[in-house]
Amino acid sequence: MRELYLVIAYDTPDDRRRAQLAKLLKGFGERRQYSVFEARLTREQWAHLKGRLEVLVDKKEDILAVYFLPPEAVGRTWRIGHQGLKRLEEPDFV
Amino acid sequence: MGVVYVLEPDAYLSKEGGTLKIARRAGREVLLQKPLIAVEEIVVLGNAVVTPALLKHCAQEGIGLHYMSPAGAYYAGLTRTPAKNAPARVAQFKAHLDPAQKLALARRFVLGKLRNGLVLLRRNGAPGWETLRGALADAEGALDEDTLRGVEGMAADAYFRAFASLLPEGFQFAERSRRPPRDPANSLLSLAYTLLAKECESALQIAGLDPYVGFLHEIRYGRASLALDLMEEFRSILADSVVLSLLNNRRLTLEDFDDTEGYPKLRKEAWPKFLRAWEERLAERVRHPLLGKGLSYRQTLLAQARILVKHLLGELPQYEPFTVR
Repeated sequence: MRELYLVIAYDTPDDRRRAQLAKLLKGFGERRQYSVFEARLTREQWAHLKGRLEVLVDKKEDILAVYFLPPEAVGRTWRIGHQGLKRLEEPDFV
Repeated sequence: MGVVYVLEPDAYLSKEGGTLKIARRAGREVLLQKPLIAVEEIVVLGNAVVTPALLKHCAQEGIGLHYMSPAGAYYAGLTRTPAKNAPARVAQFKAHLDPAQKLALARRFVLGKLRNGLVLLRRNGAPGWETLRGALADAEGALDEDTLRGVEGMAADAYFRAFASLLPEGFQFAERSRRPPRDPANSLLSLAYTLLAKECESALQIAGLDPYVGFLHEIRYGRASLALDLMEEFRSILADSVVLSLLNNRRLTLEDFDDTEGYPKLRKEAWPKFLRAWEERLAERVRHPLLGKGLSYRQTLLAQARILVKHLLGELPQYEPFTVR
């Protein structure tokens, strides 16, 4: 299963939509800043997310961009303060 | 395969937006929050609370939810997909009722178990592995179920005698014991078999079979006999090998066991080490000889369940157990 690695950044003047966007994106990735998310998705998951974003985002008022990173770029990402996304198949122990 | 193991006894599992949120029941402390799309299975060991909204989500999306005791005994589970394959189940029950087909299938499971057991012992250079060769011939020639089960029982005793010699000092055991397991190695074997049975049960459910109607294991109220059949060919290569490597690599030591209840139990703090090794093994990839492609062991379990369905529906002349070389 090929994975997509993406960074999602958005801005909107509408408080309600901002909250909805954050809530939606939390279900797909991890929050890095107030309006920046990272996600590691399959193609099906991305298609699903894309559909939801198209409905939610107001084309006139908001801006939203999804940056797809090639696997080499993910490997070379330099980070401070967080671990980066876990692979989807990695187990969690709580 | 995103599996979440909940070891914390006072955990509160809920659905928050599209995320799985695990918090301590008393207080606000969030232990884990992750997107539900990355969760395929939740295993609860202990008394965690699952909210109705999360339960509903799991049922709709086919996320497996399994309840186990803190010691690893299986209570109940919500399986990944409801079995829609009714023709497969009818064929399964027919085969169960037909003595010739039942014996033929039981024999395949025993042969799978013996072959893989032999490989594990031989690879590790266990003294006495040759004795299992005779059992293979005996199983091939067994004329009825009782004889077959007798061969299997004798072979299992011989297998465990040889297996015990592969364990480090302090972990060797005289024989396989359960309910309760009388030594640490037996205790780990029991845990691994419980996890394996759970995997087999969900694989069978996904394939559309009834895990409770088996061929080698007799049916009994509440006993997942087909899951027990399917796990035979995987016992040594998955469960026994994980136990062996955990102990021989000193990832688990005698200090990881607690004896206060009169028999050794894996300490709660040591559970993640055990489960991690188990998950690593299931994620390991292996070439499937019949399908001719690389699969993880977890996918291999499902592939075997599907091969069984194919056989039951008459698409394959016989069930071919998964064997390693």
